[in-house]
Amino acid sequence: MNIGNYRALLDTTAMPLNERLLEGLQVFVIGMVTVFVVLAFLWLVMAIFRMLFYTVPNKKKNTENEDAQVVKVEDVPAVENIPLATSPVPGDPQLVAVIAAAISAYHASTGNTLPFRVVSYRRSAGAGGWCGAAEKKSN
Amino acid sequence: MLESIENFISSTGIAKLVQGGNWKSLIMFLIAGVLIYLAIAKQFEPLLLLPISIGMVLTNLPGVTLFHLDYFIHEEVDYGLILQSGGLLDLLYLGVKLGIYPSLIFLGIGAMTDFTPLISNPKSFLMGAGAQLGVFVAFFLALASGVFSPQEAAAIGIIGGADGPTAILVTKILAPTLLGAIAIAAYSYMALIPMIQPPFMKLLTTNKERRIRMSALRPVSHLEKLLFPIVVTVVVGFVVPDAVPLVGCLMFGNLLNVCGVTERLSKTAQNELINIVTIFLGLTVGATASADNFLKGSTLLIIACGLVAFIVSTIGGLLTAKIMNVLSGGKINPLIGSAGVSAVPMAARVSQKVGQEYDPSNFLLMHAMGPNVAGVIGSAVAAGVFLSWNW
Repeated sequence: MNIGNYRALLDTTAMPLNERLLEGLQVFVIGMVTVFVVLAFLWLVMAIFRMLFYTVPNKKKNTENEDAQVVKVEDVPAVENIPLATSPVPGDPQLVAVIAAAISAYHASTGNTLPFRVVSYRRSAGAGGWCGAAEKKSN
Repeated sequence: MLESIENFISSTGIAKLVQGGNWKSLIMFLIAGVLIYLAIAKQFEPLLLLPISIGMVLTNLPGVTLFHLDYFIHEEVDYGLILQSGGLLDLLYLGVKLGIYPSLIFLGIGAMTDFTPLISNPKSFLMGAGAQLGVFVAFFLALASGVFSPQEAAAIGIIGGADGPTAILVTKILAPTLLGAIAIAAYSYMALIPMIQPPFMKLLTTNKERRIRMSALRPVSHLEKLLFPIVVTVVVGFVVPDAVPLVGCLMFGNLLNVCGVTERLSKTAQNELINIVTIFLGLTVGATASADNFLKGSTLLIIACGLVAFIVSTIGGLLTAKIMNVLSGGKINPLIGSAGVSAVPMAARVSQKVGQEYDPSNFLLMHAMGPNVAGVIGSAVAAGVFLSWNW
């Protein structure tokens, strides 16, 4: 069977124009109504879901929560009491030691108590050492 | 010796080109060239238009028999014949013929789509429904023209759904010989949405309406996100069973994404699966556009009806949004209605862009995504109506 025969099967001309228009109108109306009914029903279902599964955040309640959080801040232990192992960034002890030493050296250098001074520095691999360390850590 | 040379020359594509009728292939190469240009230089739907145009080139090479459309247009397809003597594109086309590719593409689209704006503001469903007006108007016009059968008119009408896989699925069932023309028209118009829609958006809305600021969307709970795809599948399945291959896969893909425990499957659906299927679909759909099948007056009529479908769908969405705006007391910006034609997310971006022309600090994108994804479901339902109709 060639394409021409296939098109003949579809019978494009046998149906009179008024019948074609009538059928077209039926499909038009039923089709649009079906689409609207299905999607409107889904709207209804979603609206029911909202009532069942979504709770509107209460501003007053939130304010109370914020107050509670403020009180809790006072209960947070001092920095020196936080064990190293529970710090937010799980640490490489060597890295922590290097950072601590650098901070210590910085503070100490301001009092000129160290036997060295920084006369120059250079960036490596396009990023500062701190950035590099941070990137390495995040990876 | 001389005979061998003659045989060789007569077997070349050049010799076949000058034989009767094959000159039409040159016109098809020209059309494919335009599509390749649009895909690469203008980036108009390149993921689909490029494979489609290359499929057109492959199928129109004289003497090359990669694809035989006549294998597939019988009511009883002889799969043994296809496996025995079919070319590469014949085998790949089985995925179109059996309705596999469009559904798998919907699976990927579902995994990529965020339905949160629609769940958050479910009124958007109505705009997605209103934007299907073009589908049925174009169907009616195509049928009234007397050129097309009711089945062909339905396939032409679905161009207005602005949804490539849906158009391909409907066409391969109802009018397989028009597949090339309809797919090319659908994807071309989807790419041209930023040019087609704005004039009508501006024509049908007032300056005041275009400046309306919509209230922020509410957050959506995880449970709502989980239940949404299941409920949509069940509801659509009960009313329009023929739409389930599309809607079911769309919602399954979305469930993979939102459930939070199938990240690997979701990523596969969003990337490798949809990319592979897109290549196969594009190539084989392009292959149906052979010169004999494509270069007809009816193709021009299909392209004209497709444009009408897009315009009327845009108008339908806009008018629905305008009515909803009036009923809601001016809380809905009618510009988001035009996003009800599927074409995710292009149509929503157009709403955002036009809105910002009148108020640069007004952000309509997320509001427009609601009708936009509702349009995907709406066009699948419209396709289901056509497929289930007793023609």
